[in-house]
Amino acid sequence: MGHGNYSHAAHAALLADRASLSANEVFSQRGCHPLMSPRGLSMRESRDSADHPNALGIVFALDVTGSMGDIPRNLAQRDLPQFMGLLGACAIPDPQVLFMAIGDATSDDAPLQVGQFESTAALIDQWLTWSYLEGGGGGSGSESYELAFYLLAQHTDMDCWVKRKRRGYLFMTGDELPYPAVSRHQVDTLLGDKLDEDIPIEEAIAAAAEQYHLFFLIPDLKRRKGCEDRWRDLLGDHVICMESPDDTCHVAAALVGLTEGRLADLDAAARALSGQGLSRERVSAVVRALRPYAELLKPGAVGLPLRPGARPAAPATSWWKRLFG
Amino acid sequence: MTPGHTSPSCPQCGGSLPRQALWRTVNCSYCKAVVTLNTRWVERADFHAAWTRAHTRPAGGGEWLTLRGASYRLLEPLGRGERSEAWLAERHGPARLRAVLKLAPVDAHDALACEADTLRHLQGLTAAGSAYFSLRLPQPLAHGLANDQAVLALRAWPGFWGSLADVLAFNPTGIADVRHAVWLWRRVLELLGYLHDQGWCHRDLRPEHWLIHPADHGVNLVGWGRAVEGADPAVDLQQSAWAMRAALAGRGDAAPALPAHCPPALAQLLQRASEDRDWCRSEGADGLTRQLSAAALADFGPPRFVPFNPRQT
Repeated sequence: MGHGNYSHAAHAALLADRASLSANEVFSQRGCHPLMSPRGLSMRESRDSADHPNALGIVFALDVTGSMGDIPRNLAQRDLPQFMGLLGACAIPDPQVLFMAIGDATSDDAPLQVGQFESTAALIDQWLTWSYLEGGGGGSGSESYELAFYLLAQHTDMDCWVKRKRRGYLFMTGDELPYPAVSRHQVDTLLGDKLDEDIPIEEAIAAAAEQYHLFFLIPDLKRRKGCEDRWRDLLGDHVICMESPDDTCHVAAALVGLTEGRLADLDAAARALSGQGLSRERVSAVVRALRPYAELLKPGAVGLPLRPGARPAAPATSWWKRLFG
Repeated sequence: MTPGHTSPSCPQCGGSLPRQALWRTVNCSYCKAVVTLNTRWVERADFHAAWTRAHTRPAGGGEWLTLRGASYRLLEPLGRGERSEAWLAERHGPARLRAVLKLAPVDAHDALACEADTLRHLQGLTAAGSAYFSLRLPQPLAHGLANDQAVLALRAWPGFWGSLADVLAFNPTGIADVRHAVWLWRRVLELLGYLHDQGWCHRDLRPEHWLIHPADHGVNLVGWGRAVEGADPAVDLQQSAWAMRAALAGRGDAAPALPAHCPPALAQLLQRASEDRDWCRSEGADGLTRQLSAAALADFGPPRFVPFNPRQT
């Protein structure tokens, strides 16, 4: 997959046509689309071609449970062209986008859906809008995010990695905890794979991280409370706490730009975002969300005036002790 | 075997395989190869091998420390307290992140554990404003013993330059532009207002515990070892006023006097807040914030953003 060229104008026109439609009309699936069912899945491929000699696989794994429906709707009705536009502004040559949908395998009918890597506006949009927004979730506080890591590790094949050792990108959105392990029974039921035993999520993540830069995007600061600590244990500073789900595309595009070195720093990211017409307020929010990860990319320190070996003097606090003990 | 099916055979040597080879791996009894005829067979060992590769430390790279199964590489020292040191560190592996490690003698383990519990409790508060204020409190990652030291790992705050004490190290005669004292104090009073409403007090607001974010005019508080629930909040307010006096007066062994360049309304407020604990108690953090706004308006006019260079104020 991945043939054809991306046209920003075509994509914008596609979205303009559906501006007046409700979310239910845009996402009209009422069950898992047969072509998005992972059952019997062999491989999803992101391949180089004459049109795209430097394909870069980018996966959006969207939590489609009840609390997280905003992000797929925003993507389908407003934001996806901006994502592609920002990648273009960052000179990311040949992005190929795959959409996955994640639910809860203990309670949902379609807890794992997977599209194909695509380059054209119509096909990218097609897989997104074929996603079934089940709106379920089991109330257990967990969703089956771990299945997405397993699927990427085991069932995707990207030329960016195989030929150039450049990792692709996973942007997973969510506001719940993952289950602690990939269940062999769920994998058998959903994909038909026969695991010899359950796989701890840490191992599924390590395997996926060999081919992908993994990011977990939490939609707002309020929802970080319930899940951030666990995700931070698993993915460190690749957990991005956004201030609004509206920032998803801009955060994702800037993460690609920063990681690929196309955006030198956060100032460059802010300029690129402003150049796409994003308001000053939203640019600030995106930059705040990106700052921890951007710091991680710097080889040096966070900004303190010290250098290795130059230890600061112990503080002089005699008067403080006299006053406050 | 049902009629019509042949026995499975080894793809390497052609030897007969047990029927289990149809659904799992078996050892060929002839050539000893490990084989399966199930094309959907997946072994956890492959994933575990990826995990092992990801957690193998690179050669060299300075001093390492293992805390609760995670490897941290020490990057550089950030500061030193009476019994502890703070180091910038980086956690290794897929869960890579920047951390601040507080290192102390082994006998401080219980104190660090207590501090970690306090911070977890504060991070878990769900009151109004918690989404915002929790970002201005340290996020504990782990604590325990490592390399014969007690260690508390906190998530590093990007953009934070150093402490108020570091600012004074660069500006030994104190912060020259008094307008900076207004936002510094206001940020801490806002945070104290939130914490006091939840019943918590910091109780150790010395300048070393104020972390400064010059670009955003932010202040976060560290050093939560003495924090308790249900203490007198006036102590925090009084300490914050003394820390501001130190910021304006500069370094010294004596209790900082109010400098001559401090304008009258702010000087009066600092004097009263630092010396009258009962008044602090009656005003509370919110009242003090209002008093600070009024004093700033009287001394400097309407608020405006003044860039802050911590090396030269």
